[in-house]
Amino acid sequence: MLLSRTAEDIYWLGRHLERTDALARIVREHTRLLIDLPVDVDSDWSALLAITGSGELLYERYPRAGEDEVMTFLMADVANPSSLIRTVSAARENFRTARPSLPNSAWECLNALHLDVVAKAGDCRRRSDRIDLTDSVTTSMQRLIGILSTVVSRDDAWRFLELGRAIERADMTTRVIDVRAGALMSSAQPCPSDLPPADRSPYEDVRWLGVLRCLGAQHMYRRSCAASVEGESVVGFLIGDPHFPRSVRHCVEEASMLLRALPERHGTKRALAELRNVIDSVPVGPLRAEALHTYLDDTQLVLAELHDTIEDAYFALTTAETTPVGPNSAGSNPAGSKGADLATTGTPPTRAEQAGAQRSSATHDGDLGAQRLVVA
Amino acid sequence: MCAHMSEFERVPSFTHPKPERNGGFMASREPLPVTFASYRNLETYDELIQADGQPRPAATALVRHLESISPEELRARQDAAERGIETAGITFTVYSQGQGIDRSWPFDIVPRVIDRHEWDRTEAGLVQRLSALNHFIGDVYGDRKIIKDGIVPTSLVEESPGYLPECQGIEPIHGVWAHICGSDLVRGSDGTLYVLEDNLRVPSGVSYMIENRMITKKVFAELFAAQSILPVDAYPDRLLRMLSSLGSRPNPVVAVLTPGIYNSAYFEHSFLARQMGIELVEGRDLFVEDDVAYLRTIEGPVRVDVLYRRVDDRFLDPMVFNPDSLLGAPGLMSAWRAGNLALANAPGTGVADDKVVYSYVPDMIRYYLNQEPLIENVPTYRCVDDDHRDFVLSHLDDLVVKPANESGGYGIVIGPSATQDVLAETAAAIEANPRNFVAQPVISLSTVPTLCDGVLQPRHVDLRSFTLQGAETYVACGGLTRVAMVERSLVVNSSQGGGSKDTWLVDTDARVATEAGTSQIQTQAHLPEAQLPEQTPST
Repeated sequence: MLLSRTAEDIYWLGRHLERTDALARIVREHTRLLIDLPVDVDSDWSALLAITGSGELLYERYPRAGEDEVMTFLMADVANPSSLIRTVSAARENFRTARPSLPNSAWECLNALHLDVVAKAGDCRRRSDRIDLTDSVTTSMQRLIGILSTVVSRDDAWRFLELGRAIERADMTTRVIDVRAGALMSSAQPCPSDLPPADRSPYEDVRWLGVLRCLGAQHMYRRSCAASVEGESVVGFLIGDPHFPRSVRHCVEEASMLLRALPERHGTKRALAELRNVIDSVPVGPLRAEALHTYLDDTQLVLAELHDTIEDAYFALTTAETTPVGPNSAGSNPAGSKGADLATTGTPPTRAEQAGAQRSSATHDGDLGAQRLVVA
Repeated sequence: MCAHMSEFERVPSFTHPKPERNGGFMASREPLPVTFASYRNLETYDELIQADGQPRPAATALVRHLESISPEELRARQDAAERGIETAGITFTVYSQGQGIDRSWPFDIVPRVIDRHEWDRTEAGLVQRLSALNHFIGDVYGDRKIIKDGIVPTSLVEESPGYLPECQGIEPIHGVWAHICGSDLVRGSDGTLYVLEDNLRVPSGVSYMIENRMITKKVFAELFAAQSILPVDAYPDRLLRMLSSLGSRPNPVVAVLTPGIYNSAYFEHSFLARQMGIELVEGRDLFVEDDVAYLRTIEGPVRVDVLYRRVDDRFLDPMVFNPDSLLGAPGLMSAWRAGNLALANAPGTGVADDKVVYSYVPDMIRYYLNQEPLIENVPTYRCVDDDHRDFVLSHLDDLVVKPANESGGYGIVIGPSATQDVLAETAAAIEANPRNFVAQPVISLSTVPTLCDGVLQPRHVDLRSFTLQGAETYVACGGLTRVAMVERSLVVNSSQGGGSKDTWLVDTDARVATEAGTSQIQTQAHLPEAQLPEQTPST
């Protein structure tokens, strides 16, 4: 048995864990990239901020933002909903309410990580401290995911955890490609990769390697493509590789598989068809910036719709909120009968909707999706 | 908000120590080495050390071990325990300026030791007590024989704020209303163990009893090899078995109902659900249709048979009680009354959770069970009784006065330390509403050596016991020892500087190896053995 509310917490736990992992990795790799770049190259934070969709908020809070401010903002600022500290805290809160369904050792691991991040995130201005902390976040996440994947039964709770992770991972990969690769490919006409290697900036390859590293993909890319690190093949790999676990295609296929294994609900069939469509339309051949943008936009839209479908199908606490209850009630919703479909029998607004909580939409220039607040 | 205040988060309704004479505790005058050579507590009973300075028999192994380790080592273990609590996220919630703040659970590493021989009698006494109380609650909501027979007055019931007319005529399964009872035990200076009060609504603390043992096993692992200490972790299984015995269908669906993460005892609600392997639900996860309660799950409604509810009566069902409450669910009361849903504890048990009712428990034991009480009550004067009231009013400065129905220890007046103004106000309050007050003589609580400022000092303790009654009865092994960390204080409340200790029931009859490792390794030769396969080395 899995309560709808617990399913929602576990799904968001999956998303927040994946987001924590991605954020730590992206900050670390960006910091490493800066170390590689010459000192006279302006530090460019826009990509880092665009990935998390938090650029506007940064400049609101720190009008003269340099490396110190950007790092404080991304790691330790509790006013930034996508900061590391907020993301880890959100994961911890999700886990806390789902504790009866998940192993204690995993809780202790996340709780220790949370304590560590709270203690250290504010002190990340030195690049080496920052690399140490993000390394330790990665190690903790690997341990946590290791615990979960070795001792959690492959039941519906597991499926919601993995579904949250797969959707977040797919979303994160599209964000990384979109802001980094997209910017690079459209900045020069023709595409940089169309130029002979000698004409390209010496730091071009380093930047593309950075893209791969942001997704921990450098090794598998080389194994799979046996090619030098070039924009087009990197983008092709990160979108369409069927085997790499952070490629868009792999994440979407995984999400489909998980959704198919859950009880069928209103909208889930259509969502599966749309996911199929994302896989079938993976671009092949030479990539152009506009086509890439369109594909990434469409994919993000499908992921956002998938999220909404899951929310409506499994998390919405419907029935009996508005149904009169008592011996004389009309019994329009025979909830006691076997197999009654909660999701399709009348959908009064949930408390979250009444509270006007923000609906999560992972659009390409938007914030990272946020969990709806349930106001009791 | 009251619904957010568990009984656990209260100022305990303790009596207080005698005013300081003869210099108080000798042991607290100057820092001691970590040894008991100069540890003395002359004022009250000490749970580990006898008046002659020797350890009590059940505590001998513990005391000898504590004497063998250096003060630094002891402090290091205390630190390790605190770090372990932090990492494990063992917390309780306190309220400050309308906000709930999670704090790490306060814990002292020196255990409190109880001899199993003594406990056997205590255990029987707790079962006896809960059994009598359940007879009483059933009688109150039934024929009221005890009133008709003149044992207790009618006013005792009808003027009780815990009395729920909605429960009249209901007969819960097994005749049990209070399935989980948390009785607080204290020991007086002559060593007598008393019940100070019985918590029959939603008593908490049992999760910390179990967690405290987990921590002690980590920091004092070697001590468990040297003696026989009864394990405490059977409790969740026994609780689940008891709860399942309340269901009206085979293989009943049992869940824990919590007010939510902002409740001070949320940690415990989650802990118990996890330990029992059942769902932890909130009001919004439940709905009732045709007097049957359902859980909202991803597969649709699932009927629930038993709710271990940690929500107060008044917030359980907005159709019957507080209409604004979102903590329960509409219709729960009718599902319960129809017999389709068991609630533990049943609604209405508050009628017996009252200081005046408490004073009648020994009479109830005699009346319903035809037995003599095995554990004593603290002598209690009922102000509603003219003779008692006259005595109380003329001895206010020697007595502890308690309101009958305040939980949380509010309104307690400790005569010997109260000002004349407070005594005068108390006297006026008693005259105005005598039913609402009882008075008790002062009892000095026993102490246990406790690590304070790096040295062992005597600190006052109580013991919350946990008794279950369903188809069977069960008493948790020991309970939760709460300790007032402040010198001479009797406030064991964790939000006000109170701490806790592991509680050991030591079986002094059990034969144990005198030194770890001396017991023979036993192998069962008949078990089939197969070696693990090895990789063949390549040439």
